[in-house]
Amino acid sequence: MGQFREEIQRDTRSGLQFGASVPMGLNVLYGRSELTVFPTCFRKVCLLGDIAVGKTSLARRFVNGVFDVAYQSSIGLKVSRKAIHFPGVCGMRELMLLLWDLAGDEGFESQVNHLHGAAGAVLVYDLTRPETLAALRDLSEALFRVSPEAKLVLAANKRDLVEEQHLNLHYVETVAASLGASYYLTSARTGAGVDALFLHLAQLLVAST
Amino acid sequence: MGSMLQSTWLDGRLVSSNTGLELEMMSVWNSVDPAIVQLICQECGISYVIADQGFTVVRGGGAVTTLASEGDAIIGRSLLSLFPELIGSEDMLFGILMGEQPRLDLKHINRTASDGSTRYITLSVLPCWRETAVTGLLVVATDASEQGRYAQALNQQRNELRLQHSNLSETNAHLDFLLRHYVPMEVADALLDERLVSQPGGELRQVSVLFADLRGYTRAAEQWSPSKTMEVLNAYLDVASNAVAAVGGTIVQFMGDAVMALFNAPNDQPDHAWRAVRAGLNIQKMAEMHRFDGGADLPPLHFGVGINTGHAVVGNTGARWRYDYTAVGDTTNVAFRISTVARAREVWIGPTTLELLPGCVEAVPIEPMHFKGKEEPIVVYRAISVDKDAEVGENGTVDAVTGSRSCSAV
Repeated sequence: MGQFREEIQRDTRSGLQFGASVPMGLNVLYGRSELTVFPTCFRKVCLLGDIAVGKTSLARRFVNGVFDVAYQSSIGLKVSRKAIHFPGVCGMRELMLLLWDLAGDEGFESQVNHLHGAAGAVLVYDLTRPETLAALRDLSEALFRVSPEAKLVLAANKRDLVEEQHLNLHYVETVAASLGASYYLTSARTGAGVDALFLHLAQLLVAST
Repeated sequence: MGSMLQSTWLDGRLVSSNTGLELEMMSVWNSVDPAIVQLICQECGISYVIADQGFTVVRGGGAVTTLASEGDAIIGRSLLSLFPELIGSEDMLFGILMGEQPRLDLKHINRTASDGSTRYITLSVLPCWRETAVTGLLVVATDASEQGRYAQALNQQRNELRLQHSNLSETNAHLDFLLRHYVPMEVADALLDERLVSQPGGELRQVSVLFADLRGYTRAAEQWSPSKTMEVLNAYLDVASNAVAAVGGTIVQFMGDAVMALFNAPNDQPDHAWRAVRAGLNIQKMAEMHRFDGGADLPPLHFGVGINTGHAVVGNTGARWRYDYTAVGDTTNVAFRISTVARAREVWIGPTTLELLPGCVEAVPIEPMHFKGKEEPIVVYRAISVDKDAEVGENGTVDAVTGSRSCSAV
């Protein structure tokens, strides 16, 4: 495992390769050929958080590299996937992240029902709305009840909308520490911190394999 | 189709969430024409696949386009490749196979169609029985796009309202903060309660006016950095403000290194003279406690306090688009003049103020003062102490509760 981690760190410094993103719906609906490289490792990752914190935007930014400024509320569940390659790592060619984008207002119970089998989660809150932090503790506890080994990362999103002098990093750090998670200041609009967040989560998932 | 379909579907169940219709296919299944089943499924936007215990699709039907495009083979494919939403739920699927779990439901799965529109699929995974054993999984996918679009539209409106409400609450909190920090708190409350009208103008009212001027500040400021100057000034102004607020006074102005406070406006305070003197003495005591030594060659800073009582016009003065709540008139002018001549660490009061505090304040007369703009000299008094507890008389005079004239200040 030590050599394995060393390989990951070396690759991180040189930049891990992201696999081509495959829009989930199109691939399944219209029977396009599967990925030529059959993924050797799927990992389910849930995006959790209150309404309008940017869960869908983060997923779209990471998977498709796009951002839509218009707010479109989500219902139900969106699953998208993105491959992350770890070349040279023995026993694994590709980590396929299955991002479960869960609607923020489906109700706590509904979100909890979708947590089964989750290897990790991105807890998302809106930096411009501190009250959106409140729901994350309950969600993380619910996740650990069904997936005790799940890895967490906290996304403090909408960084582009907060001026430097109004940024309360101490509060973010305190919350992240209480959740036992690393945190990233992200902006789905600009893309800042998004790849780094998911890459870090991927590394946590690989390290725990 | 016959034997395999009979053995697979015997005692099976077909669920349609789209229409709310639940058809229980019992032993009569064998007599039902499969073509009719296919027709019903297509009409209701239902598709189904049956997978074996290795999660390989062995049978499918219904509105196949819910699952894949026309012509695409689904038989022989992995169930998980057809429904990637089931990845990660393998333990639950095995639970269904083992009879430990009745079913698995996933509502409103978003799928993107070729035209970019969003379709909503509801997925149900059920055990597929063969006689008395579960031999596979029945996965029913229902196209719930119409319901989903309505639900999404409703959700959109509801969420936008929630966000607007949240924004409004935040804006209100911010405005309230600004109001209370740039306008005297008592004035803010009076405005919000509509006891005060937010337009230029005022009323004639008897008030006590207090000015506290920081002695030695100007000289000290010459030698300090701008940030230190501000820090020291704010510290002393904070002391004076707290002393005034502690007895219910209203800070109406900060004028550089001086503070102006009102008593009996905007709130009614019959004992305003007593409050003003007590505030002045407290300013001196608290400034002494919070004394800031600006440096070895500079004396510590102290206030000179002047108080006067009388009638003044109290209200909003200024331009039509910008005004301050304050008191104007001779009473205010004299209070200011007194504060400019009062010695550091002392509280000097006007004659009217003393008249309203018979037997309640210990004061010694200062020689008559000739103030600018006044024809007659004014006898000013140095307040030494004021009774802690006092009662307000009929004419607004304040009498000591104990009746003693010599009472220690707070």
